Amino acid sequence: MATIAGALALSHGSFMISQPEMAAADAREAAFGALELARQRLLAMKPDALVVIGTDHFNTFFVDAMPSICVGVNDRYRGWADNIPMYEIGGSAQASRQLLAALDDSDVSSKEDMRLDHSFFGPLHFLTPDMAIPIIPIFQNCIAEPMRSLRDVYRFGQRLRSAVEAVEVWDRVVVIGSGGLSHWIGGPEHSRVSDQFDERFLAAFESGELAEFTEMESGRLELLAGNGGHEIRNWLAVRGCVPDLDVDVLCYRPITDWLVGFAVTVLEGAHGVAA
Amino acid sequence: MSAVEVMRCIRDGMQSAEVAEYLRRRDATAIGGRYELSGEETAALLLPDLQGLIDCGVHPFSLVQLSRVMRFDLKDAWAAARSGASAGAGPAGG
Repeated sequence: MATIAGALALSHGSFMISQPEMAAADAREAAFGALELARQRLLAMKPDALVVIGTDHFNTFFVDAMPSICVGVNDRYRGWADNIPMYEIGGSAQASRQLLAALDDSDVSSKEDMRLDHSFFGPLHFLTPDMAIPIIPIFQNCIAEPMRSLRDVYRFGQRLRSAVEAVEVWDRVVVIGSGGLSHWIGGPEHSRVSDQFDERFLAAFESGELAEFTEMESGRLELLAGNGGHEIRNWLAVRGCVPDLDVDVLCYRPITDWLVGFAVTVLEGAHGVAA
Repeated sequence: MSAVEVMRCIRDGMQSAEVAEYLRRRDATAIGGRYELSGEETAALLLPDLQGLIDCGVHPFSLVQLSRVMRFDLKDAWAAARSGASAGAGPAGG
């Protein structure tokens, strides 16, 4: 039976990797410093595996067949080289099946050949650049309505905890949520971010008092945080999974040149001890 | 406009070198032979008319993909659209 050794929730963005110089030097330094610290904190958790909750940007999934949540079931996952290098990483189909069986949720799909875009490989590029730690990838639809309500997403995170603990293949698992925070992408407000929303969300994420966000309608979330802001679903799933862990906000910067309200957080037991 | 068909064409451009080339060449004949788009839809896609595409239901994320395939800077393109100019070729961005 696995133990959740800790968690992280952090932003992703392909320009951080492909064209980091787009951002001002001080923002870059703060962001990369936080990511390096997160990498060290992750290593200190001694994970055997990672459960990574990410999304997709019409690479793997399209509007013609868009699952709400989909778990990858494979021993190996490939990327898309979508404005980042082409990556591959190990998994465990057996572990994925154990997790799915424990979830026992007919609204959760599974996919064998589930390629992963920069929402997965972006954070992994920084956190585990040698791609040596196997993962279970969990896609969550954060791009096209209908999306799960924020309340349901948090509840999914709560159920995910026991599902991760039911995995027998590994001992120590770290849960990672990727995405957000606020960003407007592609449309007329392309590159806008809202530090007001982000700081409010981070405070709630830290305290665990998330009712303002779990009760928020999807349309209102988009109004306040942009179409990219729907990715806070992955943060909410992490917090639902580990409500007992302390949140350490390593960095927050609104980096419009990277098209993201950039944040990195680490979640661990008191005094940095793994749960 | 069939927004989904426009989005499908753009997505194919990300994954097919052939479709990417059609879009970069602004080859309306090739696009028309492969996708069920009207003349107006094809024109909006190939210009590209960003606001027109958004107004007809094309997902904003598809415009990010379009900017990558057709190799233009999306921020610059929106600025140009607001000033009445058209998106040109330029560094891909996004």
